[in-house]
Amino acid sequence: MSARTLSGTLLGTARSEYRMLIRRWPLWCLPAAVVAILLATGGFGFGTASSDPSSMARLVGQQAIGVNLLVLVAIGALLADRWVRDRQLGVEELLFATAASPVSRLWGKYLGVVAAAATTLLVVWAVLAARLAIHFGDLSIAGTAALAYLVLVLPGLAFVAAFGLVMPRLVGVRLYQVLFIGYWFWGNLVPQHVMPTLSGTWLTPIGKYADAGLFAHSSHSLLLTGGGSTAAAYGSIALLAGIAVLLLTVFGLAERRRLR
Amino acid sequence: MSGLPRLGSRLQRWRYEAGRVGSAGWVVPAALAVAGGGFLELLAAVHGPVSRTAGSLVEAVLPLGAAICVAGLFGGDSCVELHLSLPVSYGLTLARRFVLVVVGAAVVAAALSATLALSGTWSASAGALAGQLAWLVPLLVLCCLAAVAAALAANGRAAVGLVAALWTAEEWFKNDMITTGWDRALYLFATARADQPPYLVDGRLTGEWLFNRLALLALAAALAVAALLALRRAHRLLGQRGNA
Repeated sequence: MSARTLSGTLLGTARSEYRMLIRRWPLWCLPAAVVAILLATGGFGFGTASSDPSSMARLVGQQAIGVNLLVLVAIGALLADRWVRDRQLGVEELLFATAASPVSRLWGKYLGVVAAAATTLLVVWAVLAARLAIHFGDLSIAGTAALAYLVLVLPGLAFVAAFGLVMPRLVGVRLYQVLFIGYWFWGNLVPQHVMPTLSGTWLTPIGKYADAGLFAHSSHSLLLTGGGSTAAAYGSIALLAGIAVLLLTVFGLAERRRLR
Repeated sequence: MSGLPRLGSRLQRWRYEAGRVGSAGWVVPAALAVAGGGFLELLAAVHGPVSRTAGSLVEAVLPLGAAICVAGLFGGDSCVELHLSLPVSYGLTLARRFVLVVVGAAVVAAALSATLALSGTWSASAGALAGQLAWLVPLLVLCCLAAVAAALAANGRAAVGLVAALWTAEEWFKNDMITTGWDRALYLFATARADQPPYLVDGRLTGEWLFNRLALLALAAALAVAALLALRRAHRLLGQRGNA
């Protein structure tokens, strides 16, 4: 198959997936509702923050952790059927009959899912950043918020979206949703003295290491086994993105082999 | 038609619906109970006491699984159009399936709860019967919430997202919820996850715990009524299967 066909399949699938998802109102309403409730209940801790730059950076980090924890879990559960729905809708055989490579379709779907969810999160994040800027009367916080979006929100989304595409094929959508939500709690919130858990390691998709290392937000540092540092922050980001790429690569190859 | 054939016909209908619900209603809670039991054994071997984790399995994980199964009832039918053209209400059919999923999960939860109590792993400090409220209340609230969200949104996946966010938020805001005023009545996991004041004092469950359970039961009843009202417009579920 030519490179042009491959890239055409990938971009076409990504565009189609993005267009389908971006019009789905639950992808907008769920994050908006969660953030509205967090704002209404003071869940972001505005009351304790002062307007010096380090305090504002900590607040941005705290805000990102809250958004990641509650919005990413909802998005992860919402997007769990994106790869298996072709089979559920009975169009998988039709797609097999085309020249579209399953690897290109998988990556296309992945890019479309990530782009659509990232668009939603960008809007939600922009509203939160504007709220902070108004609260402190300081527009410079926009830069900090943009950095937080790139290094705290997107890596977690990339990780969640990869598992949401691959795992439902292996264990079924409903069981995956239960396991994913349970994992989210176990792998992000459960302290290591309670039970063996990933929550103190670099592999925490809500971004605790990046938060501690780049935003000096310390309220989650107790759970970090290696302590917060810039190197640990970038290590955690690279690990999350690397696992997402590895998972999709292995799964894509397995799907291609299955269809030969 | 005489009473007996009518009863037989109704039983047959329930039996058919039980088969239709199938693995969605029974296998997921049972798989969670079995896998959770294995996890507890492993945890006890490599880490130590598992009492609170065992309680969390019954109180939080099984109700979550059941709620996701309830959400999955909405949108799984490939012939909704046909059903909507029949004199039998499609909303009533979904309500029957809802009951079957909840009863299936309740049977699994009761069996697991009894097993944990008999093995001395975990039991609620409220006597055997009242202790069943530990899992029954979150089960009903989460399932009814999933049903009302899926019925209103005409979308089962949105309901799962909502339940996921609520379930995680209950843990994230646990300390804030149980130490402030009115929202301590709305904390779902007040038996094993919050085995501390105001729900547990000197090893005994308190009146605050009972009030919490009753308030949540009332909430579940209100959500169930809302779901039934939403299901009166079951035609809104048309086309959901083809949605992105």
